[in-house]
Amino acid sequence: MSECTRSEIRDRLPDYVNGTLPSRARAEVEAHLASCERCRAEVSLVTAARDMIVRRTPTVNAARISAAVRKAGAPAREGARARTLAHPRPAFAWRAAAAVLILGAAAYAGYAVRGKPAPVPAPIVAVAPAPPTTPIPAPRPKPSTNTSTNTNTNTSTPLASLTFGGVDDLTPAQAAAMMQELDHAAPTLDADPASEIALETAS
Amino acid sequence: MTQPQGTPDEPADRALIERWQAGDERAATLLVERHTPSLARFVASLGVSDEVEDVVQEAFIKAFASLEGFRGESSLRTWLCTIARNLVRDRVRSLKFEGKQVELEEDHAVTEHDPLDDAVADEMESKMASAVERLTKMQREVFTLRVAEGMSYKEIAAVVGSTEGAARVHYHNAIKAIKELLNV
Repeated sequence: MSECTRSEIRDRLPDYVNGTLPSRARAEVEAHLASCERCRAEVSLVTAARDMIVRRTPTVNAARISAAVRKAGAPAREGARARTLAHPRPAFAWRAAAAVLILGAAAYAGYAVRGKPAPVPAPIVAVAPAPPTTPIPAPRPKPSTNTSTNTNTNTSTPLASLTFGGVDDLTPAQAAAMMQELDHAAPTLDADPASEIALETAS
Repeated sequence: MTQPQGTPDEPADRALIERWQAGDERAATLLVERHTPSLARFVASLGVSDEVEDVVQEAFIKAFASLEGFRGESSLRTWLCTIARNLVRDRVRSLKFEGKQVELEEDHAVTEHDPLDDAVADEMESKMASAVERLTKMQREVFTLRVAEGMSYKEIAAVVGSTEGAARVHYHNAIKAIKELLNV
């Protein structure tokens, strides 16, 4: 049997079979089918083919797939945080570089003054990028908010009060204070909250 | 077989994607349930028989892992089919590289039929299956996407990496070939 020459109708037959034609187009197809045996035969063929494909498709477990997707997707959704950690924004990178330089300088000073080996390896300083051009202002005295429960009086130690005794001499509180000073030292740099979160998450 | 974009009672794919990205795991389940049957049919049309579920799962995982890059220029279903197609192609290449038998070549049978299954199956369906299996790989893919998934030629072209016009030609050639094979 030759094929119908109404190609615009034949093109729509799969949509007609699947019931996705708009009502007007559907009416046009039905009007044509009423008078075209070849297209009716093609509708039967397409319907049989569709039903065969559906019936013969291997059964797959959507619930199992869904569970696997959720399991694999959880870390993917955290991907933004991970990428932020791997490629921190420049502002955060500058702050990190500045911290490395200061720690390196402190270590070197400790070595020069006391003659003991610097605890921070030199290569770290060597690979650090140049510090930001923003001048580091003089440390500002902070009002003491110390309470009776806090016996460590060095928690607000400004940078100037760190007498370059070497980073191994810094207490955790002093190190935290120094980082706090760095925050104040570069007020124009845009801190990226996502970077901070990523760093905290990683640590 | 209709465009799985949600009904008035079901959220569209885009809305579900946004819900998933906001942390709603149920949205992922809905998307998977919505697109799994369609994707499985397409994967089977590519000549995969035993590993349909594996391929479908891998396609979903890949898609969800890169949803940030999904701009919605095509439908999610089209995108999933494209990913699945690439996965199958990679598997075939890998098998070839390892020197294993590859069953997904052009004009090879799509599925292996159980003789008992054939005996009890509807005769017309068996004949139709044989006819579809004898189509070229491209014809079979296009035919399945058009007939079973109701995709437009534009969507099909995006999946198979062709043009709308070429997809239309492949479809009509497939119809013609099936008619000849079935003597109708």
